[in-house]
Amino acid sequence: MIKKIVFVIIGFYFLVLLQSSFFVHFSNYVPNFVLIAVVLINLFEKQKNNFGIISSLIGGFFLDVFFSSYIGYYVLISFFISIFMKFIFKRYVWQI
Amino acid sequence: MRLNRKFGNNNNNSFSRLLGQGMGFRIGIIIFIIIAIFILNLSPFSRGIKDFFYSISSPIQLWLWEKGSNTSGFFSSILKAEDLKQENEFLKAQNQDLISENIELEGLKRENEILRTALGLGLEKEFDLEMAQVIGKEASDDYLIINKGFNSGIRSGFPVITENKVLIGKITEVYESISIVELLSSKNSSFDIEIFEKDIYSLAKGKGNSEILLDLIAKEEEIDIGDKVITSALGGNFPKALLVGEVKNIKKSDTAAFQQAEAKLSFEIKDLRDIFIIKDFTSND
Repeated sequence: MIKKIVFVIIGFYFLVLLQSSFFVHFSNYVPNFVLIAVVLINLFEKQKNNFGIISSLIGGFFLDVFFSSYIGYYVLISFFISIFMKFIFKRYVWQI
Repeated sequence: MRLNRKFGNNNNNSFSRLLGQGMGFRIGIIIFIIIAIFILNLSPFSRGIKDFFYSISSPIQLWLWEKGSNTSGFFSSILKAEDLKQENEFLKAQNQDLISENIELEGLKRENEILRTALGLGLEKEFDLEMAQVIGKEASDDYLIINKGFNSGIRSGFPVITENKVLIGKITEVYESISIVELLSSKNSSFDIEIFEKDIYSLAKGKGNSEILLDLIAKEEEIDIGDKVITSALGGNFPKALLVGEVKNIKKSDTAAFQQAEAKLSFEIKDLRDIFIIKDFTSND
């Protein structure tokens, strides 16, 4: 688990740097790769795992540091995306 | 009835199960987030954290910005190869015109210098500039991140220009080693402008995507597409006569009290690398 968290911290850090400094040259509208990564992690996560929530907090934190005036804005958005996905999966997917 | 009961039970079960499994973990995280947000935003920690990350990231960001600029330039040159030939011919013709104009101006410049000396006038005061490099752009809004901050004497409200004295925007947030530049096209940006050589004044508002909207232009004023837009000293936000952009589209309506126009800014975000901050100008904001 700790290895995974370290990997996510490093991965999200570089993803944010790429998003803010590299991909902006290719289009005026750059997708939010960190939020996409958070959604993907939650999508492929196992039922009893909380790694998706932890990664949403890490991703949200990096987005706040680089893109937001207040720390907490993206943390809350990504956290609630993660919680919402878990709720939907629990209700409609994992029950099957 | 059975279906309702089934769905109702199902709903309650799933919700309670959602709360049940790892409920402590989730409530703990929510409490942690709320406390963390309060502590970070109501104390200098927030600035400290941002300063720390920006100071360790700015060399990497600068490198990524340069690589991104080169890579996108390479791809766009391949995609626009056919247009380049036509553009080249047009530029050659334009170059000839400019050379002849330059020769004429050279003569005027010499004459001007002689007159200045004769009248005892000093050269026009230049701005006190600080050079900086663009290292990033915020994802959703029109804000740039530059690698100079409080330590370099940068303060909030300072105007930012290119080497050709094209206005880019102004500093809105300053950290130890980096600053945030609000572009003219940002939706939070509004400033006074003048249509060059026409004595028409207007209020410009950011529209996003490198465009601005020129509002409150009197109906009887004659604006043409391609007219140059420069800053006006009226608002006190920016020094006067800095190039902003050119009129792209005019919106006239019989019902509206004023006419509006859309203008394209004279810089491309992806081409920005070295920029200059005017340090001896204080805005009225």
